[in-house]
Amino acid sequence: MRTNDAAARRYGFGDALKNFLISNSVPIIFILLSAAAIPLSGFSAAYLIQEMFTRLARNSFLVLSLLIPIMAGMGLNFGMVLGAMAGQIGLILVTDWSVVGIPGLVLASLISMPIAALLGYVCGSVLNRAKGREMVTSYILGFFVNGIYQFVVLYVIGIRGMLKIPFTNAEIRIPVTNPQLVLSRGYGVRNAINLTGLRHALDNALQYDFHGGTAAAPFSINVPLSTYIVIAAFCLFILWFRRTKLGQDMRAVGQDMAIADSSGIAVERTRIIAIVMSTMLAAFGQIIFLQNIGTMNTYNSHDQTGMFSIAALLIGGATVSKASIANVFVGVALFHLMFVVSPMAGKELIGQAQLGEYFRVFVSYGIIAVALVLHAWKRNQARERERRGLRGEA
Amino acid sequence: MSVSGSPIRARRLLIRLLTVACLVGAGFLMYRLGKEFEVIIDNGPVSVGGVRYEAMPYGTVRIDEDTKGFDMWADDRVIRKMVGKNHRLTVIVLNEDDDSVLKTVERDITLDFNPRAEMVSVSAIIAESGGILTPNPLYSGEPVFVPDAAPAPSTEEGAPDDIFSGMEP
Repeated sequence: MRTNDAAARRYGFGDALKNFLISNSVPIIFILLSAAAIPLSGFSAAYLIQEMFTRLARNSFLVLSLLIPIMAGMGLNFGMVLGAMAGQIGLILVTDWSVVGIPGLVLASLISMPIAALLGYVCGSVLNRAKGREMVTSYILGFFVNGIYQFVVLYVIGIRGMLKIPFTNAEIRIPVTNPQLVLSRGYGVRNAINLTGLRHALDNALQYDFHGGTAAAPFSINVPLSTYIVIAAFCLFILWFRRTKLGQDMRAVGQDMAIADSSGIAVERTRIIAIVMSTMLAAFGQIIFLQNIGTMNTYNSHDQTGMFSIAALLIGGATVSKASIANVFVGVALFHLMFVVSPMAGKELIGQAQLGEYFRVFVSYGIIAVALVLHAWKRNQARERERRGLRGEA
Repeated sequence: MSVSGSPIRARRLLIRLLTVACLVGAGFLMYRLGKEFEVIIDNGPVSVGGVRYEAMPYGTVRIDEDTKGFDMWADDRVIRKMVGKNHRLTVIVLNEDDDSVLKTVERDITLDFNPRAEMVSVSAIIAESGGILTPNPLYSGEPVFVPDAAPAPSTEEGAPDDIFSGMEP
């Protein structure tokens, strides 16, 4: 009996270990790759720690905004790029009005809210008509709204109007008075906007400098405490939100829409609210991201927002149907660690930094593909086990 | 027990309207608190209200709590950024030879003028004049565009403007 018990325990531990490794295969692979690449890159620990603190502060809010649609069973919200565009419009207007510092960031967020809410509503309504295909639909919707955004920013915003209402002299124009923001033809926003008044406004509000090292090799690590306080507040909001009725409704909808509908939950309305919230939070996240960068590429900054955020979340061990706050921070740290060390590691290994960058892109997105395939495979396996169980097979 | 929907709906609507009003109010407050003005501070001779004031030969100007300030000589003109509408300018007239303080004048200013069209005159502040604004002689009222990265093609007289001219990649 004792032998059988011991065998059962060993089997249990082995089984648990196997499950752990499979469930966390992506972050484990990334940790191993990073462990190999860090010594090759030659970067010091202090430099890497500083980079990680900076990048976590810059990107975590954006990735956290993905959690709510996953909770509602809508998968990975590629439509967060709509929120990023709304945030950028807020920043353009605030820069034109020369509102600086924290008031400028808050005002940009307030301006982006109705725009993001409208875009989120449209996105949510479209996704309700594409149940089961939310991810690809939101991905394509992002391209569509990107076209509208580029049209607005290129032809509608300006000092002079280019578009006129037919049969009248009235201009269709979002007025901007700062000529430094506008192309010389009088309309259309410039390619790159210097966010001088907003640069590091949130990061520098409250920061802590950690000094260490030896007399021969001192180092200093700057931690933007205010940004982390905002991120922590968002994490607390998510934890609180999960316990509210709306949060529970979203979880119910995420688990099974039919049962949620039978229980009296307004499924479609709940899904729309999830996307609206995610889009608005993505707008705030993009504002936090750009204030850290300090420069906004009007036509490009939002392009990779969705892809990078989703990549980071998947690398953190999240799946299409389940994600936690821990996945966010682990994923951002690992993803951006690869960003930092790959070029130099590639240069040391192969002799060209660009090849290191290709390697990073290949590994990062290849791992995402593996994660998505694994998710689909596990889901099929679970369904097959369920069917076998119903048929009474061993 | 059934609850009538109408008072609940009315209460919800009221809460939502109040929330929107608070957000709009917050926006106006942030605008007022964070608006930055580029103010031209001029130390040239100036006529205000028919009275002529000579330039300060040498001195230091401080804005608000800035203890360091910046030095100004006669005919200097500087641009300083100020956040918010209300500020205090402190002008300290100094002896050019030994930097001793000859006179100190504090003046509260409200930036409710067009900072591109008018300048703040140090000379008028020292003279403790009622008006301290003087017209900016370089202001034309037309926007001054920064050249684009790629120069726009020139258009011949009478030819329609190319809508793609000046478009950046």
